[in-house]
Amino acid sequence: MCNCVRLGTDEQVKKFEAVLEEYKGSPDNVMVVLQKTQGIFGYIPELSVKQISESIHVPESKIYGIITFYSQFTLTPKAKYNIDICLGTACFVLGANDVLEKIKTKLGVDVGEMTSDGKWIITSCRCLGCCGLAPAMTINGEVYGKMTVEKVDEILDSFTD
Amino acid sequence: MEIRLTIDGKSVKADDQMTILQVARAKGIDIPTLCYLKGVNEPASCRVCVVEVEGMRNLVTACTTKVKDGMVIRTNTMRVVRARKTALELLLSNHNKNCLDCPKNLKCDFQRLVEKFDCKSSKYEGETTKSVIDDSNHSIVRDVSKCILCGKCVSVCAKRQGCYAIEKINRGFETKVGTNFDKPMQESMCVGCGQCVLVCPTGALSLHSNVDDVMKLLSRNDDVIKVAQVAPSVRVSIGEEFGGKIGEFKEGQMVSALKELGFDYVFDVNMGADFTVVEEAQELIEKLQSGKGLPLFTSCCPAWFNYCEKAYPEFVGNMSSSKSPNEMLGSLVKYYFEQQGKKVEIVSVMPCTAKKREIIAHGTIDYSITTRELGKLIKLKNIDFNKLPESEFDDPFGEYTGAGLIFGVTGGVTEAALRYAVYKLTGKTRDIIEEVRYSDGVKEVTTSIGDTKINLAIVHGLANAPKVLDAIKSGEKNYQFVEIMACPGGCVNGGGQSFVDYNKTDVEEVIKRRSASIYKADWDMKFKQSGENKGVAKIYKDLLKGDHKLIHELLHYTHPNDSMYLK
Repeated sequence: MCNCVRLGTDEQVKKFEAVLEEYKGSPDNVMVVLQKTQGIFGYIPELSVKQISESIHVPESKIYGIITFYSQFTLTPKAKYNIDICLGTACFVLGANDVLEKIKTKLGVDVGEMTSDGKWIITSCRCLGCCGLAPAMTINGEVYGKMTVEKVDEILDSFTD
Repeated sequence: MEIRLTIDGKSVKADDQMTILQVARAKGIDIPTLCYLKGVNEPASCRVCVVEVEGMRNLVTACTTKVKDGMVIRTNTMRVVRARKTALELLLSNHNKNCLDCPKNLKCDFQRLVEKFDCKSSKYEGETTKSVIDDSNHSIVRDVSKCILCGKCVSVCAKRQGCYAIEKINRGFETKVGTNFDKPMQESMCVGCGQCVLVCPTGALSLHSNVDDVMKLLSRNDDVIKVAQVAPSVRVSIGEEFGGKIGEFKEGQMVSALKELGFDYVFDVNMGADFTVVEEAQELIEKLQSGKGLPLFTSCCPAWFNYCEKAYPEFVGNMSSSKSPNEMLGSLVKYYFEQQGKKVEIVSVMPCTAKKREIIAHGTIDYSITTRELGKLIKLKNIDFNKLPESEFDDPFGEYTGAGLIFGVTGGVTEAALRYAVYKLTGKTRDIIEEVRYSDGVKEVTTSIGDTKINLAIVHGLANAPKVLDAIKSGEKNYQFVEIMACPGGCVNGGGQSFVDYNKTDVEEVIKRRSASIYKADWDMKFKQSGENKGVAKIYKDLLKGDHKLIHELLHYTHPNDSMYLK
């Protein structure tokens, strides 16, 4: 393994190596290995692909094809907090777009972008399944309902760490 | 089991294991396909082979539907034609329609079908994939905006060549053929064999063309001597560029054409191959005697050399230090004219796309063009190829033996080396060595040269290389000599050879015809063993003066540090 660029923390690397060992020589388990890798690092680091390829005997290009096909996999590190804002019909007509604009201005990034400190990322979705709380958004899975532009500062500022 | 069915009103017999497409084509009924490549790529994704089957609600894809007893199939109804047209128009809706500028213009399978079905390019308008040209690779150029995602290149790269350089990446509209992490081709596993270019139905994959460079070189009126040197297998494919049958032996016309183009000298890489045989057999004999550095791998195939460096770097040290016939002849030609105080520029005509990289890496030869590019040059100069008289190669690099000629076929290098080694060690001649011919991919032969028993492996199609290389690595197999040719069938089926319609002729048949043509010419040769080449002996004596240092300098790579890679 290349020592000059680290995949992650020592603990993460140790877990990752255990996964590689467990699925050594079994190309059928490529999905499982990728899921576990993402579980460990929070994303699939580019460097890990070569090691996965050598271990489970699946060509690198094929692994890259799989990663880019399934939306569950990501090649970019995840932010600490993911704001997922609903732009479905109910939320939209009740002003979700204004809330989104406020969040974008406050964080200085667009949808799909991560803030430079790695703290926030904004994503949007079509329905969170709680139209009664529209406009709704989630932060790391926790729902914030009946959102208003005014509430944005207060909620985001409460994440002090 | 034999069954009966009806296609377009005709009752036909067929085997129940066949697909509708196979039965139809066997009976001369044309069903168009874009994504189908027998045994390699059968995803049924292009949808242009759809046909109507009585009793079935929907149209079915002929390429994947097996025939059944009593089936009634219609391949040309209004409904079928409409469905095919729609499929083509949908493909066309996201296709770079800049056909006039395309290297595949008038040779494009997709264009041919669009014309046949009177497709309207404006029927479905919408977002289109932007043209991004990747020409980082010295052999192959890619343009994703011309790709119809048939997947043939991906399958050929993986299944025939085992390189896995390209793959379908991303999803939905974003899907494209790309490399690992979408890096430039040069950083991928691509070895430049060009097999993907042979199967691409559009202009998404093409070559780095040197046609303009060679035109410029030939139009220059200066005192630089312009030399063309031609590989063994070009002569059995160049005729196809002018409507000839697959595999016709057109050596005489080819030489005439090159002279008409304006080359001062036309030399034969076959003679370079005779030199390679002498040097490589000598290398093998020395290694067999010392027992060191075995197995010896042939190094004349540049795509195999690239593959070895990328996938099995531990074997680079086993590569023969003897230059490829092309590089050997190039070095000799350059030295020959320089001794006379003359400047020379060399164009090599090759069946190969990877040679474009080989010549840049070694810096002796100025341009390497493919059989297709030679065809283009001949057409540009308005030379009527089929009416040309036959001419002979020029002295002093025009004489060859059958051994040099068969380099163009898989097993040829081995056979040529054996012919020479047998003669050298036993004084006997053994001309036709059948057991090394006609391999399925990997052929193992144990043979004896005099008292020495040697194990040989002959590999073609790079996907077969790991079988042999891994067995050597694990100690399971013990070979003394391994020949590897990247392209299936060897150079006769190189990535730079004439395009063939694989819907009409299988690649196996193409290889068979071109190989047979080479073997026949070999059979007709008076001299079949490189040691009998008087021209070679003369060059060793008169030009190289038996000077070992000079011979090594001109005919060998400074091995093993000499890399094919461009630093």
